[in-house]
Parts: sequence; C-alpha cells; structure tokens
Amino acid sequence: MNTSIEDSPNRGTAIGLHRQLAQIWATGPGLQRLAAVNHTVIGVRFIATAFVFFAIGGVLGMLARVQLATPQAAFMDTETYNQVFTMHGSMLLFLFAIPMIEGIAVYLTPKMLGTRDFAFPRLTAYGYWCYLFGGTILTVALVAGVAPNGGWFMYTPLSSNVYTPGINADIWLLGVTFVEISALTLAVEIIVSVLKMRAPGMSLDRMPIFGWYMLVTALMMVVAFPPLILGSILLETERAFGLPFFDPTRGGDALLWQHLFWLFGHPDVYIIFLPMAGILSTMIPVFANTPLVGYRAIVVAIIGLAFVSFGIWVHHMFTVGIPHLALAFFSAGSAIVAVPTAVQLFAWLATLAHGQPRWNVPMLYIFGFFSTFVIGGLTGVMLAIVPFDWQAHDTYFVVAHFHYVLAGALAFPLLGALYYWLPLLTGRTAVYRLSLPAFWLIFAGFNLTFFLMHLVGLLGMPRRIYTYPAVEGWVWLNLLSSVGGFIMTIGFALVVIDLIAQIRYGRRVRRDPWKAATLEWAMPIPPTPYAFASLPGIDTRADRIAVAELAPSLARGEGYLGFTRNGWQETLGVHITSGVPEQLIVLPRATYLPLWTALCTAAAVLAMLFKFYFLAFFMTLVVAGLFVRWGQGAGHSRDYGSLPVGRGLSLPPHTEVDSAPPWWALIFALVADGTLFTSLVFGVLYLWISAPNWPPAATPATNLPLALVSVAALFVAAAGARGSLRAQAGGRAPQAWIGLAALVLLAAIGAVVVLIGDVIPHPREHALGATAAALFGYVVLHAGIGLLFLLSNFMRLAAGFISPRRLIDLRLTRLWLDYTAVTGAIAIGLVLALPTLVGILGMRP
Amino acid sequence: MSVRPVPAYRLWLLMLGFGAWCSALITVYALHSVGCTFAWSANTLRLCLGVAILAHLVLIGWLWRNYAMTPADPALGPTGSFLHWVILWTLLAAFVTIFFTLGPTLLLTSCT
Repeated sequence: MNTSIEDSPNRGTAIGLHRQLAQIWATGPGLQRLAAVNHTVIGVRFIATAFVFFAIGGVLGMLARVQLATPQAAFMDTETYNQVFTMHGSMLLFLFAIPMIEGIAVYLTPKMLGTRDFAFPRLTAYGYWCYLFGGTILTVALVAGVAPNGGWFMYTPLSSNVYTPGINADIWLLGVTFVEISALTLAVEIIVSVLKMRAPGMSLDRMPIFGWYMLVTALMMVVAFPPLILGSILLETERAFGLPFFDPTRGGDALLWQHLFWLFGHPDVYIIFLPMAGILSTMIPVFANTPLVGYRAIVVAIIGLAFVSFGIWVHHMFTVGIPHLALAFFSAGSAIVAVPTAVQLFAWLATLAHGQPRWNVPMLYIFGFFSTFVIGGLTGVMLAIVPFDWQAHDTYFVVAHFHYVLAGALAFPLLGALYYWLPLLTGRTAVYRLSLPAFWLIFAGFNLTFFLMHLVGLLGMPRRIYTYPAVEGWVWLNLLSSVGGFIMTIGFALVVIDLIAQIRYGRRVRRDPWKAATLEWAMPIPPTPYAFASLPGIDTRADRIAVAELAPSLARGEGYLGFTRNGWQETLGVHITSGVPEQLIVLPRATYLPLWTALCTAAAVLAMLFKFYFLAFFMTLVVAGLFVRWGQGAGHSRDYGSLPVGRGLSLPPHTEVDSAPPWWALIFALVADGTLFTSLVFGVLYLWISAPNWPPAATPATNLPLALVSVAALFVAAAGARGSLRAQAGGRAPQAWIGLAALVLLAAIGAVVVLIGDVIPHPREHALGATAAALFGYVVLHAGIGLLFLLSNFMRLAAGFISPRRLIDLRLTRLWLDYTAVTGAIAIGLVLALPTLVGILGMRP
Repeated sequence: MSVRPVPAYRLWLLMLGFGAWCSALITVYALHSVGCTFAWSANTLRLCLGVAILAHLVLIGWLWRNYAMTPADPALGPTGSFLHWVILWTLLAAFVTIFFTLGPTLLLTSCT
C-alpha cells in the first residue's frame, strides 16, 4: 500500500467525483474479475450461484416427485433415490438457503447502513470462493454417482464407514464443512460491519431494522455452525482414522452426532428466517406507506427468538428415548418460540392495518409468505407436543411442515425481495405481464404439493422410502403432490423468464422507484462500486430518509469523504452504540489472494477426501502461509495522525485506534472458536455420562508432569505476547519477547504431541482415548496458529507496519495467546480429570 | 444537554436475560442427566432442579428490579433510553420463558 499522502484531498463535481472514485474502487475487466473483492460484485455472485444450486436442488426434488408419483415406480433404484433426496436437502439448505442470505447480506447490508463496503473485503471474496468450490465438489460427486446418500443430516451409525463404506459420506462431511468456513467468515464480517461501519450518526436506535436482523442472524451463525463443524470433523476422523466418537461398541454414542447436528440444525431454521423477516420488515412499511409498527418490540423479539431457537434442539430427538421430564421442557420451549415469531407477524399486520397498502408483485409474495408461514408455524407447534410428534415423527407430515416453514420463511419473501430490489440491481423496473401468473402458479403448486403431504403423513407414509405399496389413500395424494410440484416448477420457470425480460426490456429508472426511505436507494442505480460518492450523516431513523433530497447531495460529495485521496479505498468507522465517527478505515484493493487461498483450501479438502493426508497437511500449511501473506500488506507503514474526512472533521486511520475492525473480528472469531471448544467439552462429558461401554478396559492415565509443563508453557507464551505489546508501546524493541513466546509455544506443541502419543486407552480402542486426543489436538492447533501470529508480528515489525501508535498486530496476538492458554488449561485439565470421572462412574447403580 | 455515547460493553446486557435462560436450561438438563445416571432419589433430583430454576429466576428478578428501579440515564440520550427499554423487556421475557418452559417440568416423573 502506498505510504505517501497527498496534501489535500481531490474534490470535484459530481461527475468528476464519480470518475475518481470509480477508478479507485472498480474491479478490472477480463480475468481481473477473479480478483474482485467489492461487496456489490461478490454479493451478486453469491446470489447468482445460490440460484444455480437452487435450480439443481429443485430438479432433484422433481426427480424424487416423479419417483413417488405412482406406487412401486421403477424410475430410480434405491441407491440413486438415496443420493437424490440427500442432495436435494443438502443443496437447498447448505448451498442455497444459507449462501442466499449471505449473498443478500453482502449485497444489501453496507448499502442500507450507508457505508462503502464490508470491513474485510478479501474475506468476503474468500468466503465466496470457498462456497463455490465446496458446492462444486458436492455437485461433481452427484454427477459422478458418488454423492452423499445418508440423508441431509447424516445420522450415525448409518453414515459411519461400516454402513457407508465409500466416499459418499466423506464428500458431505468435507464439502459441507468447506462451505461452512465460508458461512463463518461472512458471519464475523457482518457482525463487525454492522457494529463498526454504519453511516456517521446512525446510532443503534436509528439503525434500519434490517441491520438488527442481520446482526442477530450473524451472531447466531457464529454460535450455531461450530457444533456441526466439530461433529463433521469428529465423524470424518472416525471414518478416516478409526477414532470411535460415535461407535457404541467402543465407548462412543451415535446420539452425540444428533446432539451436535441439531445444535446447529434447529437454529439454522431461524438463521434462514430472520434475514427474510428483516426483508419483510423493510418492504412492508414501503408498501403500507407507513413506518414499521413496533420497532423496539421487534428488536426484543428477535433477541429472544435467537436464544430460544438454540434451546430447543432436542425436539428433533423426541423419539430417541429421552426421559419425560427433559422432553417436557424442550416441548415447552418449542411451543414458546412461537411467541416472538408472532410478535413480528402482528407488527407486520399492524403496519399494514395502519397504512394504506398498495398491491404490487412484492406484496403478492408477502401474502404468500403470511399464508404458508403461518401454516408451517402452527404445524410446528403441533410437532412440539410430544405425543403428537411420536405419531408423526419421520412421516411425510414432518416433510410438509418443514417445507411450509422453509418455503414460507425463505422462498416467498426471497422472490418478493427479488422483485423489490431488482431495480436497484439492474436499473430497470419490472414488466409485470408474467409476474402475476408466475406467482399464482408457484402459490397453487406449492400448496398442492406440500399441503397434501400433511395428509399422506397422517395416513402413515414414512419419509425417505423410494417405493410404496398401493395403500388406500396414499396413491392419489402422492400423484397430486407430484402434479403440484410440476405446476410450481412451471411458476419458477416463468419467474426466470420474467426476470430476464425485465433485465432486457424493463423501463430504465433513475432511483427509488418504490418511494422507499432506506439508504440503499440514495445511490445511483445500478450501484457504483464505491456505493456512495460521499457518506451520509444520519440524524433520524435510517428507514425514514428523504431519499430524493439526500441522494443528489451525496452524489455532489456533500457528505463525509466526498473526495479521493492517495488512491485509497476509504470509508468511516463509528462508535458501536452512538454511531459517532471515530476512525478512517482504509480498505484493501482487489487481489487474487482470496482466490489462491480458496484454491489451496480446496486442494487440502480434496487431498483429505482421497486420503492423501501428507498432501492435505502440506496444503494446509500453504493456506496458513497465504493467510500470513494476506496480512503483510494490510494497514500502513507509517503513522498519519488525524486526517480530514469532510464536514470539518478529522479522524485517525483505523491502524492507529484501539477499536479497529480486526480487533472486533478476532473477538467474534474467538466466540465461534469457543463455541466449538465448548461443544467438544460437552461431547466428552456426554460420552462419559451417556455412552455405553464405559468405563474402558484400560485404566486411563496421562503423564502429569508433562501436562503441567505444557500448560505452563502456554501461559508463558501468553505472558511473552503481553511483554512484546508493553515493549512496543513503550518504544522498546519487542522482538525478544516475541522470540520467547515462539520458543515456549514450540515447546508446548512438542509436549502435547508426546501426550497424544501416550494416551491410554489408545484413541482407536475407546472413545475416552479419542476424546483425550481430540482435546490435545485442539491445543496443538491453537498453539500452532499462535506461532503464525508471532511469525506475522516479526515480518510486519521488520516491514515497519508496527509502531508505538500502530499496535493492533501485537494486541491480536496477545488476545489469541490468552485464549490459547485458557482453553489449553481447560482441555488438558479435563484430560487429567478423566481418570477421576471414570472412577465416579463406578458409583452408578 | 450534551449526549454521551452509550459504552459499547452495555450491548452485552442485551444478552443477559436470555443468557440466564440458556444457563438455566443447561443447568437443569445437566443436573437431570447426572441425577438419573447416578439414581438420585426423585425428591433429591426434584429439589436440585427446583433450586436451579429458582436461582435463575431470582437472578433475573434481581437484575430486572435494578433496571426497573433505575430510569435510563438522560445523559446517554435516545440511544440510552432505547437500550434501557430493550434490556428491560428482554429480562422480563426471559423470566417468563424460564418460568413457562422449566417450571412445570418439576411436576413430572423424573427419570422415565
């Protein structure tokens, strides 16, 4: 990055400013598109790719309906059908639903918050490439006939290598985990951007409600995904190396997988619902011509919903033999989750009742949402009642329920949003000749397909069967369901044709065709790469903006940063709660690094898939090296002090403040990491108390002195990081402290590796040994990443990127090593406590 | 009156109420599992669960009382009032949620 600075910023006319900014922010032509990091470009790619996977997943659903249209059909054999329904569910949830909300978040959030981009554009691009490559691996497997075939939730022991010996399950475990890396990176990015990169003056109470929804959703993702990532790693480790986490014959427990999966799976429904509710809360006031009713109540409701959605994962496991008392509180929780959902529904209805609604195509889809989602919600409450669930479990009633919930929560608002924001995306308004029949075909086809599944489910038809006997009542219901599926598909095809027609023939529009009052309309449409020519100052709620007056003013550069300087991609960072501007954030330019890093990550995943473990290890090191390389050009290699940002305000660059985005990003990354660690500890304790074949035949033992030395070394490393920070802040050389920390970390890694080798019982013989090895492995991994932090510190010190004013690198290292020391002490302490815990088991009756 | 920014740490208070609900749920579920595994008597188990639930209700009640008795600091402006209101209502909602989801379970058979 250029370190010189121009004496005065370049100002000009609106057109001149546009040209200057476009030159700095635009993605290059041709192959340079692969280097894009801009949120508008990446957001569109996410959305387009998600639609491709939606189409593939939809076709798979249609194939399943063809098979089930008649009894004893010979259209598909068992194996093909298993792959088809597994990939239908996996694709629509992991490759369509979640990436779609990420794409919408990437595309819309910065625009609605009045900033120029996300906090970490390269991470956005890396997330997209990981998603694309992970999804491609799954799709290629489908074409090759080795797709996952054990159901979208991969229950053990069916997915263990005893019952699924090929690579089908490995493809799911590795491919989905790869995609989840993308989800986690974006979740951290969304949180930091919403908290730190809003328009100046946009305090939390002025934030558009969409911002609250995205913030809560991203926080949920940070906590929801780690249990599944852990479960996938443990199951893959069991399949690849024989560590028996889920094998009851060796002290594992198949139900542990269900716990880890549903700790992710249930909140995932709300992770999909909440952004769509944010979209509805944005669109409904526009079409009702009145502000949203109950803004504060909605904020309370979504916070409550986020928490309660985590606490009811067991309602997917009502039939596994859990005692009545525990069933009861999960049942009550599953019923009460309807309350915060209802608060939102009533707020939307009240908004419509207060206003003067105008009917338009997006409103049709809102109507579709209300009717389907309410049905799905009510059948959800039915399934929350244990006796009913016992009857309906694993029948088509459940299939009908979750299609109503997911389509109600996702498909209808999504299509409404597509029509609503397409003018922003394309600069053209809709040609509605096809929109109306498309909607009615989708709505009628959807209800015909899935409503009848309730009935066939109540008649006893189980899920996941590829043929069925001509049982009284099943036949015509299945046939009509399949017909409905085709009607719905014709509707979706019409939507595609309609959208193409709009892009080609739609009437050009300048800005704000809906007379909306949110910030994304206060920019040129389609959006420019820099989003806003200057950043707005917000003095009212940001969903009540006078767009017609604000937009020209921003285009003329009358807001903040209405100029260019030094070729920098500049935006502002604000105080978390008040929105007071506090730092000038300089974002990185387009680069191929995210693409290369994702390619190497994909190579590591593929090497693991084909069991080339040394190659996988090598590629993982390359990925780590590339991440260190990312950091080398970040920030500034000199101190700048305060720089003018417009409107008479001067602010320091983000490299010279305490609350820079990377600091918050690491905090939330550690929240995700801590959730994974907590899930691992939960797994250990769960196996201890619930798994069969405990205690193991061999008495567990650990080398106590070596374990204590390891813990001590981790704390000395953390102290070394603190020493380096103090030294640099005091103007002294920190290299000696960094060297000390690196040396003791190496010692800790060596000691823990020896401990892994000495685990008794052997990790392949009993789950106790396997869990001890997993805990030790966690410590080694984190100490290893700590070494990368220290290596990066050395390199950036040498390059002049760290100074007594620019301490963010050393602060990040301190935070990481503190975390490593604390979790290391807990992990090693738990392994040391295992013999005692096993002894306590002897007290069982 | 000039307005001070609400300190960023106050955002954690938004999670306080339902964080307590999560804590109550995990504690009750864990206690129940341990009690059933080690064949505690039904009365002992019920007492332990009751104490755990009550402790969390008292904690939320205490937090709510502290908040309800203290009006929002005017120096923190509309943002302070907004967060105060949201925190208060999340506490109240969490109290009701604990009571509704965990309370009646004490009446059920313990380990069957």
